[in-house]
Amino acid sequence: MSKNKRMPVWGMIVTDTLLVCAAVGTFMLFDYVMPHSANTKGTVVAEVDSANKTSFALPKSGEKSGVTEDSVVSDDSTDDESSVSQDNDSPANSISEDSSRAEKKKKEHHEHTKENWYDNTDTDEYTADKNLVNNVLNADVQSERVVTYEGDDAVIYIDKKWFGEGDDKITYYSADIYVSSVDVLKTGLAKDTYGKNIKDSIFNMASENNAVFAVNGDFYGNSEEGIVVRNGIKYRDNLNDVDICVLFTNGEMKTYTYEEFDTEAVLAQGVWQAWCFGPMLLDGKGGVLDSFNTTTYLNSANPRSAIGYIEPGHYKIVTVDGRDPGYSKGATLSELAAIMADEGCTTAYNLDGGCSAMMVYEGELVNIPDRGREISDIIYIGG
Amino acid sequence: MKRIVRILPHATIVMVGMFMFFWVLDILNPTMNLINRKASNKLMIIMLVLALITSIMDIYHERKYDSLKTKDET
Repeated sequence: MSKNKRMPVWGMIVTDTLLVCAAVGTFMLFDYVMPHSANTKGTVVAEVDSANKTSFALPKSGEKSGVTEDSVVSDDSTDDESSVSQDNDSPANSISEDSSRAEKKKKEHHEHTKENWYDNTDTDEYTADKNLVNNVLNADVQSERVVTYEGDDAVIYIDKKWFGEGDDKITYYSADIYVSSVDVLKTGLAKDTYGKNIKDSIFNMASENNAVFAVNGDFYGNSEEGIVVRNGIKYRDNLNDVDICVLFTNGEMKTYTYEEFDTEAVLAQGVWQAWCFGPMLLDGKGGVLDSFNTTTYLNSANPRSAIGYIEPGHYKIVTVDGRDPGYSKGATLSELAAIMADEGCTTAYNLDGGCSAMMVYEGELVNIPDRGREISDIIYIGG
Repeated sequence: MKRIVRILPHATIVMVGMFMFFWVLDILNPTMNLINRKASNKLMIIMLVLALITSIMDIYHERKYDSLKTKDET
């Protein structure tokens, strides 16, 4: 009998497959999950101090966002009791109602989420779906104010909005943000450290930065490439093939494709924040782009976060809930772009979404995220 | 040595399997950017070396087998 008994072919195939899985798992654990601090404090590329600060006027107390009233709440919806703006409600009450709903939703967390995952059959890989855009632009959007914050440096109105019926319903939270200067719109890093895979909960980051309002950022820590400028400090500037969003110290926000982005020229203009996730959604004049720099997989209906620009000192941050048909199916990029256009933005940029799409006000969730997860950065007001 | 020679093709298969997995994930979600990571680049060099050694070994064994076969026939 031979000493070196050979393994059967099926055994070899199974062994090799298991080894591939083990190797991939080990790689992902070390390179994709374990935190790696970059040990860099970054380079200051822009400063906003009293000498060069551009000040913006805040809306007067009690004055509502004109954009919300004029372009979103439809004539039909104004007759509906549910659409009546609830300025008198305290934010805490509104949020606690949403929190209880979130708990309820978590308990009955549907397995049907995956059915919706690829529900974007009419959308080409890079092309905006005109039908979806028109559906959103012509939708009977109903709204309900859940937060009114009027501080010395910022005014924030958060409206819960929804449209559509049944499984097509989309619910989102629109934060209408006015800041007195651009340095009020800040970003925070997880554990106050720049690096790869360094993550923390949005609540911890909001709390550590004394944030009144916070939303997830671009999850820069998930990638080794893409420009990262936070609060005027540049941490990296190697480009990848995603669109870039820049908030300048003069309060303007612009989006760029990676081909047109000239790092030196843009940094010379005074960059306060730069995000690398995308894609950009609007054409800079409020029109939905004809195509998005994305893939079919990423273009599917999902929870989303996006930042939009109306004018210097006036921004919109929108968080779309999703993966929960009946409450909110989530938005494709076409739908998100249409929502941002409908919100009155001229420029808009998609931030990290999915489980990351979270909006927090005074330490409590505003939206109902899909489970939620630890992230590497936030955009916040306060501190 | 014999053991190493036997393991090398399997190591190559494992590395190729990993990169096929990365490639599929990158198509689905380009922001993961698995193939262009620094660690992936190092793995790719290892894979290339393994593939090269495996190929050379394969050619060597084939030629050896052919020459033995020719000798047997003569």
